Amino acid sequence: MPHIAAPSIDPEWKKGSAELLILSLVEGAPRHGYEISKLIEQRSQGALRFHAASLYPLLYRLEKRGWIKGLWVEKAGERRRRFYRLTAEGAKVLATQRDGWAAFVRAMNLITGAEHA
Amino acid sequence: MPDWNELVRRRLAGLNRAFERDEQIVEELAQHAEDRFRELCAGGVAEGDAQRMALDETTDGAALGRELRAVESPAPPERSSWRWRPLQDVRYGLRTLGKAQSLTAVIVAVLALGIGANAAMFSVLDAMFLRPLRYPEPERLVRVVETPPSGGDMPVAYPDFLDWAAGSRSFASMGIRGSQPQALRGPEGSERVRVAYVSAGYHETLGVAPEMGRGISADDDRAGAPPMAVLSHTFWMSHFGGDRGVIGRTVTVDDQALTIAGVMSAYSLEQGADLFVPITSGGDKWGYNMRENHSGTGVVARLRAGASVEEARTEMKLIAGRLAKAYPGSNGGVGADVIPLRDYLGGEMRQSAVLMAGAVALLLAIACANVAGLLIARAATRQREMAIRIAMGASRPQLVLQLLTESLLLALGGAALGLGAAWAGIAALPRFFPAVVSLGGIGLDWRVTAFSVLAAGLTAVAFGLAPALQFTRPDIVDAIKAGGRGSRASVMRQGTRRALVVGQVALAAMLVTGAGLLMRSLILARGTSTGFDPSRVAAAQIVAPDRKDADLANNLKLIRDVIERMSAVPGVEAAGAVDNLPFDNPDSFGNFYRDDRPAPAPDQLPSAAKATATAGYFRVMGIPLIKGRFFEESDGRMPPVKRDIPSVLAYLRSVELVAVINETMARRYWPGEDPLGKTFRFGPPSLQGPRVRIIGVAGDARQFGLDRPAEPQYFFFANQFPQLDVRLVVKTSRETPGLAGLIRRAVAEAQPAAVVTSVQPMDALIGKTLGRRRNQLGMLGLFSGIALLLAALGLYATMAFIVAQRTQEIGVRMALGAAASQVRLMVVREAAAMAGIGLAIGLAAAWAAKRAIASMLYGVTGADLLTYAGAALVLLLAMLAASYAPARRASRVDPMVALRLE
Repeated sequence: MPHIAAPSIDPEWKKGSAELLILSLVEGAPRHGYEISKLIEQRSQGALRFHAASLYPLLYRLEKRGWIKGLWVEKAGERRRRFYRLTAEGAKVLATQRDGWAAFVRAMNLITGAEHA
Repeated sequence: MPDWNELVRRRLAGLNRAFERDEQIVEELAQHAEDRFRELCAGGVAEGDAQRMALDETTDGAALGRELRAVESPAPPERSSWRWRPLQDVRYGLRTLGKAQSLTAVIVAVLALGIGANAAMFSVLDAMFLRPLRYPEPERLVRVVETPPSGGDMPVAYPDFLDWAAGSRSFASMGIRGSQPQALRGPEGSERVRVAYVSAGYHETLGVAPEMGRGISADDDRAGAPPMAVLSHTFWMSHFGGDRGVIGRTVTVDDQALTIAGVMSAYSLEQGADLFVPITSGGDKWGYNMRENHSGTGVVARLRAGASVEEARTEMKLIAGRLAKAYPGSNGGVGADVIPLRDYLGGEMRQSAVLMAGAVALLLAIACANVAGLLIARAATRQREMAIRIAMGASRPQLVLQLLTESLLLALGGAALGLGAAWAGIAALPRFFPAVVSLGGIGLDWRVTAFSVLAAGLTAVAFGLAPALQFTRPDIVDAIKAGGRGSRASVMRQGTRRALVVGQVALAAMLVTGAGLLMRSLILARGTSTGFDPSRVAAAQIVAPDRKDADLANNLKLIRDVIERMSAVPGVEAAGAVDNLPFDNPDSFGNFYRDDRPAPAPDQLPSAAKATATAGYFRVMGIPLIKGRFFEESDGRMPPVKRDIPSVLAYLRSVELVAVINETMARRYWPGEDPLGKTFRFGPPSLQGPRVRIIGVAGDARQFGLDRPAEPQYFFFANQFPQLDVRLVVKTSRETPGLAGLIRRAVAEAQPAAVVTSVQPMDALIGKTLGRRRNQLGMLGLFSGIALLLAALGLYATMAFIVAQRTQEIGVRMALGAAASQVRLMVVREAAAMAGIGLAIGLAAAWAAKRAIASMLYGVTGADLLTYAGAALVLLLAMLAASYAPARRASRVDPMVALRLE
């Protein structure tokens, strides 16, 4: 999980990184939409928040690409919920995006001179 | 508890939803809203507020609708980041290349060499193999030849042609053409012109129409027709200035007035003809009526629509078989063959054209490897740019395309410059490949241009792909951080560059070896003894006046007169004459057979080179007498003989001739016997030719070329055997300036109507026969020289790069006490290793490909070890020279400076 500490995040970057965030959140265990939105908020210490209005379309988009898969799960005494889990293809994408992201961060550091080797 | 599903559905109602999973989306969002509501309530928000907040957050109308539509409705696939934008790439590429002007210039120049050479050679291959001949329906045009029992093909006897034309069904039409040099009477004296004897229908067969007037009709091409001629376009321009009033005027050729009936349009198979006359008119004069006479005549035919070459060939073989039965004396064993015209015309040059095309292809490969090396060297300076672009989201295919666009720009620049070079080269190429003239000529046309552009495209991929893939490696960021040194990318880059150098050296080694083999052949050919002494011998062609009723004995008188006059000139050691001069395209083989044995079957009939010489000829040429004697006046002298074939035959059948034969003929046909005093018959049995008595055996002399073996040869005595044109040969004791003028004056005094067409030193004639060899060597030598230069440049650049990268290591070594010479040795050894591997590969490849050049060699085989060793030496020296500067720079590294670099 990339560490995003800056309090203000450029919206463009946020958009690009949202996919990566969601994929990495469903990597360990299947999660439903509400849980995902909460986790993003918690882990970024409130810096990143996704409204349902943008979270669900994004989930559907990832599902359409075949990177995640949604399944309705019923539990006794509760409404059924839609859980999303990472597909094999999604796992591959996640791996390359992670690498790409790491490279991006390193490159940006290098270019902006933030890292003194 | 509110019905969340219903609430959400109501909220979404205004969105014009028509989504497939409508209910599922509503349910999921409702669940989310409910979770949020519970959370808010647990946080102490009043229920009413919590419900509104949860709904607002979850179903932010405008945003949700927009996003859902984007996802759920079938939208075009996202590919904006993948689209290739050629114009943008071109602009960017031009900017990038403009920034590195000197590198760009070097790369364009190297590519121009490679592409230009290929474009020029392509024009030859195009004419030979690809482009249709420039005649109507050229695929139907064929050459029909006669095949002697000894193999190969020979000119077609005119009576055979007539039988073919009458008896074959595979052809729509057929034409024959012979050619004779004749004297044209002009206001300022006589001049030599080339007269083509063609059948009616010859030009129609090719599809060539007269430019003006008419061609030769069947009415013109019959015995007793009024004498007429059709001018060639070139002759019309040069002698009549393109005057449109020439029709009906006359030209006088060999004292005969011919009425000009028309002017032919120019066409590629003219072969230098000045005038066209009906072949019937040359029947008796040139012996076209004889079935035994196969001299200089060629047949073209146009296949009937739908007929194949194979069908025509089968039919022609049948007809030739019939003729062989009908005329066993002249046609026994003689077959026929049908060859597509283009194959026939290109045939002789085919092998060297293919070899040279292979050579230029190798050259282009070297150029590609060279440029690839240069581009990789540039990787270091472009890493940062690539890293930024990757970081900014450029995909790898995008970057590879961008880099290939740059490569393509370089290659197109090279092609443009190369076409300029090709334009100059193409003008010189017909000298190397004369056949292309008959094939319609070559030039810088759209086909060559298209080929160059195509070659540029392929070239761009060939030299650009490896660097492009290396530039855009995903681990490039690591590479930058490692400072470009010692990283995996840098090691790979060095590896690639070394491999490219090895490749260049290998390819150059192949070319140098090929050139070496041609050079050895030329040297050996030049060193071959002719069997005579050409020094200070001049040869002049004398054309006797050739009236229809001329007496051939007068020709003899003229020659004897001129020889006598020249012998009296101070400084002239000897003078003589011969009709078929060695090394001057002698074209006379004559059949003969021993008359002390049963006459051989027609397909077993021996033949030998035939010449007619004066007694002094052997002295002039320094041809040694092996046994017996040369000619003497007492051997006889011919009576007046009318100048037509029947009269000549009648005379020959009435006498016994004397002859001198060469050693090869003596050895081959009288093995283990003394040929002196033996007799043979001249001509095939059907000719009923004269009996010939051997009076002497002369040493062998080469006739056709230094690189071709001496053939069996017999000499008739000029006093006995009638001649038309002769070559006067004069040996002087010192260089005699003005000799040509003296010869012309002697001839003019002896016979004002005779013409001296050329006076040439014998040495020059001999040198000319090696012209083709020299041309081939010149071409391959040029290519291998360029290849060597490029390979040396490649090695130099790579070694300089390696030395620069290892400055620090070298500094440490020197700080630890390594001597400058040791450092130099280290660098040279590394260069030598690359050169050595390349050389080994190249020589092995040359060895494997040696058959490609085999037929162009003389005196050596493709496996000539001396040549391989020589090529290896030349290459190693060139490579050592190339590594000298980098080695010197390495040995001058200051250890302190090198260490401080860290």
